[in-house]
Amino acid sequence: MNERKESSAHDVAPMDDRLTEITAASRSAGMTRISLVFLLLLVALLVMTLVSASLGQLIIPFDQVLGSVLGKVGIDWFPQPQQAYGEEALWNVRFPRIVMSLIVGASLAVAGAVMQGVFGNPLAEPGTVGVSSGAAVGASLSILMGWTFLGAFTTPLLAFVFGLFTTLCVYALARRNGRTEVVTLILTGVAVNAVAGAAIAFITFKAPTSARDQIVFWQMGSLNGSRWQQVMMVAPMCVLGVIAVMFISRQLDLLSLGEKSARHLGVNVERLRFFAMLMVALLVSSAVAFAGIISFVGLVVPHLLRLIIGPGHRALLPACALGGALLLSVADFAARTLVQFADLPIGMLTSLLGGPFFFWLLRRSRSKSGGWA
Amino acid sequence: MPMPGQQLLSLTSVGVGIDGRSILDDISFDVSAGEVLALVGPNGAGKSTLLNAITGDVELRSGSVSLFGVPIGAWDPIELAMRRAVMLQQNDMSFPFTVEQVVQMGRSPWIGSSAESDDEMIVASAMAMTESEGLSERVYTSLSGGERGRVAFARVLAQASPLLLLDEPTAAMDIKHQEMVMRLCRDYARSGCAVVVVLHALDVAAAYADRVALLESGRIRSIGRPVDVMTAESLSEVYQYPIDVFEHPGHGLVILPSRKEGDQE
Repeated sequence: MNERKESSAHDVAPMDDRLTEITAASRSAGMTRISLVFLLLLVALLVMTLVSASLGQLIIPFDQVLGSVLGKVGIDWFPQPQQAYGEEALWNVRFPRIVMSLIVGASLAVAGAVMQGVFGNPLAEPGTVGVSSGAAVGASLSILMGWTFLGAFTTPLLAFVFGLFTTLCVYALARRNGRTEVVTLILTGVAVNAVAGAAIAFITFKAPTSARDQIVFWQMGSLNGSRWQQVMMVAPMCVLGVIAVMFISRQLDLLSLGEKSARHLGVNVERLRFFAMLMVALLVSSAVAFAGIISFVGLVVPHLLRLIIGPGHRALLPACALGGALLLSVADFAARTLVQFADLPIGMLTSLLGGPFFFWLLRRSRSKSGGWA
Repeated sequence: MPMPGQQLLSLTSVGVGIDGRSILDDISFDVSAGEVLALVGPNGAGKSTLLNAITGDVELRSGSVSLFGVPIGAWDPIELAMRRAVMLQQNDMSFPFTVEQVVQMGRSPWIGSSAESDDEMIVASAMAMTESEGLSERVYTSLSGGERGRVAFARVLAQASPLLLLDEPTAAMDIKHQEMVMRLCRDYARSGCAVVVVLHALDVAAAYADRVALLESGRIRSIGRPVDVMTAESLSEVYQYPIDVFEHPGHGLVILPSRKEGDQE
C-alpha cells in the first residue's frame, strides 16, 4: 500500500501540489460563502423577530422591545414599553408565538432535508408525502378523546407515534429496489394524505362542537394562541431532533451515492434509515402538535439552500434550521398583519406559495430525467 | 498491507438463487495479493451477481465468501470498507455534489483513523491519476457517462483498500480512458493489492488480467491464465458464436468474432 502511495505521489508530485492548492483555495471560497449565508440568515432572523415583536395591533417601538428583553437580564440600555399592556402583549402573546414559529419552521425544514436525503429525492417532504397528516391524526384523536394520560405531553406524543407510523409506511410503500421514483413517491403521498384526511374528517365528525372548531382551525395550521407552556414542550423535541440529525449528516451525504455504494463505504444503511425516520417523526410531531399542518416549508427551504450552499448535509441541515425558522416567522408575521383584525391560517399561506413551487420542481425534475423517472 | 501472494479473498462453493432460480452454482476460487482477476462471460452468465456475492449484497444459498480469512458477514461495515472498495455499473447521484466532494467520499471509512491526515494528498492523486482533476469543480450530475466513470473510479481509488471490486468500470469510456483505467488496475495490483473486475471486452481482459474466470450459466467453466482459458474453442462455445483467437507477438492475444462468412458474401 505504501509503495503505491509513494510511487504515485512521486509520479504526480508537481500536479499534486498544484491541485492541493487549487482545491484548498476553492474549499476556502466555499467556506466563506457558507459562513456568509449563515451570518445573513442569523441577522435576518434577528431583524425579523424584532419587527414581528414590534408590529401588530399594538405598535411597540423597536427600542422598547429591546428594552423589555434586555431588561429581563438586567441591562437597562433601552426604555421599557410605554403603552398600557405593552409588556403583557410582548411576553404573553407575541414572544411565545414568535418562538413557536421559529421552532416549527426549523423542525419542518430540517425534517424535509433529512427526508430528501434518505429518500434520495428532492421532492420528499413531510407535508406532501403525508407524514404531517399522519401526525395530525394522532393529535386530533387526542383532542377528541380529551386524553391526558401523559398530562400536557399527550398530544405531542400521539402526534409522534402516528407520525412515526406514517413515516415508516411511506418508506415501505414508496421504495422499490433501493430507490424511490418520483411518481411512486407522489402517488404514495396522495394515498397517505387521503387516508389520513379521512381519519381526520371522521374525528371532526365525531367531535362535539367545541372540539370541532378547535380541530378545524388547527388543521389549517395556525400559530395563533401559542403559549409558553406549549413552546416549552416542543422546544426540546426540536432541539434534540436538529442536534441528532447533525450526527448523521456525513452518512446522508454518502447515501446520495445510492444505498449500495453507501454500504460499500461502511454505512450501516438500515440503522441510518431507521434513526433518520425516527428523527423526522420527532421533528414533524414537534411542529404539528400545536401548530397544525403547515406544508411545503420542508420542500422550499432545503431546495433554495441547496442551490446556494450546495448539497453537503453538514452545512445544509443547520442552514435549513435557520432558513426554516426565518421563513415561518415571516409567514406568520404576514398571516397576522396582512388582513387587519384577522389572523389568517399560516398553513393556508404556505400552501398558497408552496403549491406552485412544488409543481415547478416536479416539472423540472421531469424534464431533467426525460420522463417520470 | 498484504504480502505479495497472500490470499485476500476466498470463495468456497458459492451458490446464489433468486426466486428459486439458480443464478450461481458451486463457485470456488481464491484471489491473492498482486493479481488482477477478470470475470468474463456472456450476458446472464452471472458476472454481476458473482460480484454482488463478493460484496455481500446478495444472500448466498450455499458456500461462503471470506476476506482475509474472515467471512464477509462477520466484518464491521467500516472495517470492511477499509479493506475492499466497490465500483458499480450504475453511478448515479441524488444530489448535485461537486466532483471533488464525490472523490472525497471515498475517504469516509478512514475518518477518525490515523490515515485521515493523508486525505487531501490521496484525493488529489486519485484525481490526477484518473485525469479528472480538470473536472474537480464541476457538478457530478452534469457529467457525461464516461466522465462519471472516471470520477467513480477515482473515488474507489481514494478509498485505498487492498481489494478492488469493479463492475465493468470502462463500459462508458473511450479507448484512451479504458486503457488508462486498466493500466491503473494493473499498477494497483502490482503494489500488493488485488483487483477483481467484470469485463465485457475480451481483448482487454486478455491484455490486463493475470487470471481470467470464464463464466457460463452460473458456473465457472475455466479459470487460469488468459492464454489457457481464452481459447477459440471454449470462447466460441460459451458465447455461442464463432470467435477467433490469435497470438500476436508483443501484443498477447487478439480476440475477434469470426467474420469470414460475411466477408465472402
